[in-house]
Amino acid sequence: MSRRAFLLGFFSIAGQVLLLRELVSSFNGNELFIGVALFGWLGWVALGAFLGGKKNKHIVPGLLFIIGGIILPLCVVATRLSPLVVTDIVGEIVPFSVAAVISVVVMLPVGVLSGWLFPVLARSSQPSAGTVVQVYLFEGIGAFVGGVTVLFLVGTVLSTLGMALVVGVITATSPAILARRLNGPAIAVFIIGALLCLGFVPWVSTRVDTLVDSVKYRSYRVERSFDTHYGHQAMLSADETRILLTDNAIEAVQPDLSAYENMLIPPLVYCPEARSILYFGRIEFGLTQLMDSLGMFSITAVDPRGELNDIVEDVAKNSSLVTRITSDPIAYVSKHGGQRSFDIIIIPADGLDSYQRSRLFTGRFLRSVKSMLTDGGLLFVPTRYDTDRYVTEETRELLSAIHNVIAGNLSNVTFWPGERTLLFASDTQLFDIPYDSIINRLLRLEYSPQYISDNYLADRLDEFSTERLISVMAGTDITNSLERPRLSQIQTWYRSKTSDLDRKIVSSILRQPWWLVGIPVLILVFFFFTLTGEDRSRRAGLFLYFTAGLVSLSLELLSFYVYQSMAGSLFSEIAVLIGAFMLGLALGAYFVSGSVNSNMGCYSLLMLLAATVIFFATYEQVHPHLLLAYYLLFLFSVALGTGSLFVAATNRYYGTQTTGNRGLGYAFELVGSSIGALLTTTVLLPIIGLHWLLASLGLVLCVALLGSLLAERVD
Amino acid sequence: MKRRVFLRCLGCGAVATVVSQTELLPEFLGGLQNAYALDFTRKLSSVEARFYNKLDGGGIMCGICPRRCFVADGERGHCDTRENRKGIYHTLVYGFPCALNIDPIEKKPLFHFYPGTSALSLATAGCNVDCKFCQNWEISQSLPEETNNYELSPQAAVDLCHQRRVPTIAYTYSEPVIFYEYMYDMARIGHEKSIKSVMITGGYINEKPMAELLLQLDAVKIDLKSIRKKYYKDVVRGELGPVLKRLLQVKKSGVWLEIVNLVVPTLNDTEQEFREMAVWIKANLGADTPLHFSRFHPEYLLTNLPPTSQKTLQMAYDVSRAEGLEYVYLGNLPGHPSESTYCPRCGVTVIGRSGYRVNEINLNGNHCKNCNHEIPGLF
Repeated sequence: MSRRAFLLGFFSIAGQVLLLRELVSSFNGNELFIGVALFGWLGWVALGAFLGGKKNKHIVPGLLFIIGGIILPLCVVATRLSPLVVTDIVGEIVPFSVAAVISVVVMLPVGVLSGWLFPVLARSSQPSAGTVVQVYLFEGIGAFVGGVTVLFLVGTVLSTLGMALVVGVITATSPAILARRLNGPAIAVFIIGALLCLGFVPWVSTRVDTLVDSVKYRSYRVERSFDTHYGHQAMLSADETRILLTDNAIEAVQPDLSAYENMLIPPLVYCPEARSILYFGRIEFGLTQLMDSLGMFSITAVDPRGELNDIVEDVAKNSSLVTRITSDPIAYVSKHGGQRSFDIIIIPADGLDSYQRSRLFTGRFLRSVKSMLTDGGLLFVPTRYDTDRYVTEETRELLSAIHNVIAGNLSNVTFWPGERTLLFASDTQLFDIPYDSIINRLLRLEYSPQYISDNYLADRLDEFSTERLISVMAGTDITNSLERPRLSQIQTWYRSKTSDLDRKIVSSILRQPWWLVGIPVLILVFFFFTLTGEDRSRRAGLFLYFTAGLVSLSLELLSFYVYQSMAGSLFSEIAVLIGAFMLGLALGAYFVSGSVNSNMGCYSLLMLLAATVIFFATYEQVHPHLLLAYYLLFLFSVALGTGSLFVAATNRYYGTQTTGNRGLGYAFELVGSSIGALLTTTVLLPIIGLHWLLASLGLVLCVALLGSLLAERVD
Repeated sequence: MKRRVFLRCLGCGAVATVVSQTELLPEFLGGLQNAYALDFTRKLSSVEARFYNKLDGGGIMCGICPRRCFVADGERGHCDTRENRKGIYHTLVYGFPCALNIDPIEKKPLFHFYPGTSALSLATAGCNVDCKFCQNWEISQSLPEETNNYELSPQAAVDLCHQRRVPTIAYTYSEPVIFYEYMYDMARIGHEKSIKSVMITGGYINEKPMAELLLQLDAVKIDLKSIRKKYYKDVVRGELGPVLKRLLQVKKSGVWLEIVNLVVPTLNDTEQEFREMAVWIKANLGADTPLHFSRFHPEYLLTNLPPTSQKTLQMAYDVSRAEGLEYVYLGNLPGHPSESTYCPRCGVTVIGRSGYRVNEINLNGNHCKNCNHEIPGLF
């Protein structure tokens, strides 16, 4: 049973991570989308556990593993092709509502199967609590191994599809290899067969990846199709145009002179003597050509996807003036903050749908950026928001939030309206120059701009447009911070305008959040339910399961968010953090699995409460060099508390009973987790902020503690 | 403690906690409200619309565009700017534009209409088609009560033109058909006070409203989005037939006409399609009808398509010229020769342009200074 539980953990976590990766890539998903998909996954696993607890007598686990091994790669391919089914034409975006439904549907087969296997493996004649805990323990270890394997292999050695094939082969063949009935030669045949299959995986997956992209982008030639740690990339070409796709969305196009002039020329108007530029993003394609034409300064480009460097060099011209740094922007700034070495720092405001990009527009990050500017240096934020003819409410809020965060750190801010609105900021008064001087400075450049020239600027900077932009942005106090990251939410609202259904959903969930009051009410109703009835002592275990799921996943997601906002989104470090969490879960369950202490639930809850309170009080004070250690310790503590709480809940609910639904407790934990996944970082964080969220989680722990104490009195 | 007593105590405790925290609650809840407070004025007009038929049961049939929406009481038409209120059809956007600018006339683009002048350009929210590439989707896909509107009567718009010394009003950005009554009155009052009117439209309008409107207009620019019916069905969610008829109608009326085609990569950018369009224009509207090809930028539902390549635009230009069209222009390609107007007879630059700027005009009235060939348009 232990080996199969290990395999279940390995398969389950690998399936979850790979499907999530694929969904995010296919639909260019943000946190809200990930929350829905994760909710779907956990919900299906909970359903599978519940159903498996009821009907498991005649089911052979090996058969379920074989089915799982086959359907996982198929689900990955189906996910990648699904945009074709719901859109009419190449390049059309899929509305959030449709993508969310697809994500939940795609998760169904693997999710239900994973959940079903848990009670199937837990059935035995041993006392029920013992088998459930044992499965949970070895599943945790399997999940740890599976999670870390996937995190390190995908993007370096294998693509998502390749990894799905590897996991599929391992999952489908392992039951046969582990079967005690088989003799040595038969096992050897299976192992050799499995190794042969694995040997072909890179070859097969590369071709299938390219083939699927060729089907999706049938009007283009797919030059490369590959994965990085951070998502799926494809390099397309048609005529002389080359396109870099990231997660199914266009990241860069060459040639696109208008875009690149807007990215580089305007700051030189205010900083004509600039010699060194720091740019956050990829600068291959158009920017490097422009740099060569201007030829008078150096540019340092920061991007975490080192895997892209060699690949883009094949298709895009590089420049000797460019220094590429493979690093997360926040990690880079955190390391080099205070070194005043850049005359201009450029932070493109693209992809604000996700915290990945919007975390660059917090006071904390901009303070560090400011410390890297030379005296008289300039911060330049080019955006894709169109203020050329009108400023919609959504655009107003987005630009105001960016503007207000910048204005909180640099004393002078100005902007250019246009199809791409540009923001400039400096502590020196650089912007008070007349239009004629702007044109003269442009004329003095070694390169003659085509789009940033008198031919267009007279219209772009006319008083009508400029005054309108100033007037709509005046008086707004919308801002974005680590504590309350609202930029992504406003961006989601902005994008929701592309679909009537999205608009209704997003408006009612994010813009009129009074429904949030229902969450504590539902939790309290559930709490009171567990305190009633003859078997209320047992039922209290269900609330403990629920609390374990809700609090642990919420704290895990919140700590990842804060860590990535403070230390950067370095993939290896995130992998270590996830590994620590999973190991903590297993160890927490292991250490207390033999204990019969009836107070165990209270101790576990107190441990979680202490971790929450300490995090609340200290997360802002941690020294940058100690961040990884701090979060390792925090996540490990939370996981230990959760693992031991699971055992306490299992002991309370199942006791020594050998009958009953053995998947029910697990299902309740997953229901708690799914609610945490759906709401914590996606909806609650930007609406009520980190502090209120931590306080709410603390309150849930207190309620659970109260319930646990009362149950003990009944005992 | 008995269960009921405990539950009662817990309930009371919860209420007490909430009451004791009333100082914090308003801050918390108020924070939510203020965070997204919409403090713009969003007025709607209630001027009766034109071109509709009353039906039994309180419904109406809108006759402004080929959609011919049946609108029940309390509902709105497809454009979301016209509402049936107890059997009377109202326009909700009369006098409330959400976009207002003074643009160079070249930005429309109208290249044969008083080059170098400017136009008071305005639009309201809404549209009667659903182009997936819409470059003005932020307002065309909005309800009129969602946009930040100016309050500007037709008279006030005309006065603004005089005040700013702007000779023309352009009805543009979104689809002016949906604010027909507002546009019509403004054009009429404008004519009385020597202000010209130009309509920048997709041409998806019925014959009768167009006929009345043409009496008040000085120029029309129609977006011929493709020459293929399928494209109109799949990408525009409209029909090609009525647009072609309106092109013929405008040409026949004598009101100045220019055509724009937005070239969207992979969707309407084949050589064959450019050729078919040029052939149709030449045969039905004349070789001297200006045709502009403009560059697509990823917007609205097509953010995953790249901008149109210069090579494709060049192909569109070459094919159209080869088919005999005399005035073909490429938009948003500064420095490209196709920005300027050349005399078809002697090849001299009659109107030189760079971006939105007009650098030179070599015309005597409507005639080339060099060879006296007549250049069509209003100069």
